[in-house]
Amino acid sequence: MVVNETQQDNDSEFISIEAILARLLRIGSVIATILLGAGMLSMGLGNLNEAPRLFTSGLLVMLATPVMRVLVAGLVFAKKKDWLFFIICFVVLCTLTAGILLGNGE
Amino acid sequence: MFKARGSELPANVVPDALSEMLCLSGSYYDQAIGSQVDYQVTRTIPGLIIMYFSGIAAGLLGIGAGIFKVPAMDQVMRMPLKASTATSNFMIGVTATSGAVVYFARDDVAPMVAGPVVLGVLLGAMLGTRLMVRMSAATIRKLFVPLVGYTAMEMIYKGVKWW
Repeated sequence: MVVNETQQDNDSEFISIEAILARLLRIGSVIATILLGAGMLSMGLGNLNEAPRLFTSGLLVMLATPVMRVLVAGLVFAKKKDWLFFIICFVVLCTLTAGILLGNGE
Repeated sequence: MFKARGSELPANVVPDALSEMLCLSGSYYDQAIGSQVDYQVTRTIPGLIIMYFSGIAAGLLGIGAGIFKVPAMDQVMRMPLKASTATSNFMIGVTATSGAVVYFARDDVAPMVAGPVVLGVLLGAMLGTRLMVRMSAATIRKLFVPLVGYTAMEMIYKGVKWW
């Protein structure tokens, strides 16, 4: 994975979309792992007030990571003036938003 | 999938018009073979239709849609297995989120249950992705085929419940 990233960095003068998204996903999953790990720790220590909060925040980071990824991918495509893929990203983002809004309804 | 269990990479893939329009090709460095692999995607529309139904199945049954996506990309769209696996993983992040946010917004997720489970899945996924880049596609295939069989049995069991 690391090999691939540096190779792509050298290919183009600006950082490739794969490298940007890989970094974003790695940061997201590391933060989520830390939060969930802290949740497990506090659950093990019997701190039942703190544990659900840590778990919930970990799960929220987990859920936010792919949403952020679509958002960032859309921005990168817009910057590259790749409008077809920008529209695809926008449609995906709209679907996700509709899911959040409609799911809350009933 | 079973017939192709020994194969490493797809050969003679002719791209269709839509995959050419969308530039659906790629390349990756395969650590198991030790060389760069270039690939082309074909049969985009049939692939799209299968993905639609895999999304329905995933939302209804709560199973990972990867079990449909990987064979669809591997056998129908003729992608290399490793690229299929990686792409499926990448897509599920978004597709599963669209379902998960609904359950999350409705308070259907119990954090004390989901938290430890997700932590386990995360650690397993980190190990799995590191293993995948090193393993040969033929080995991954041999691991995947029984998994599809098991999931099929479980879906039949859930759907029929005769016993």
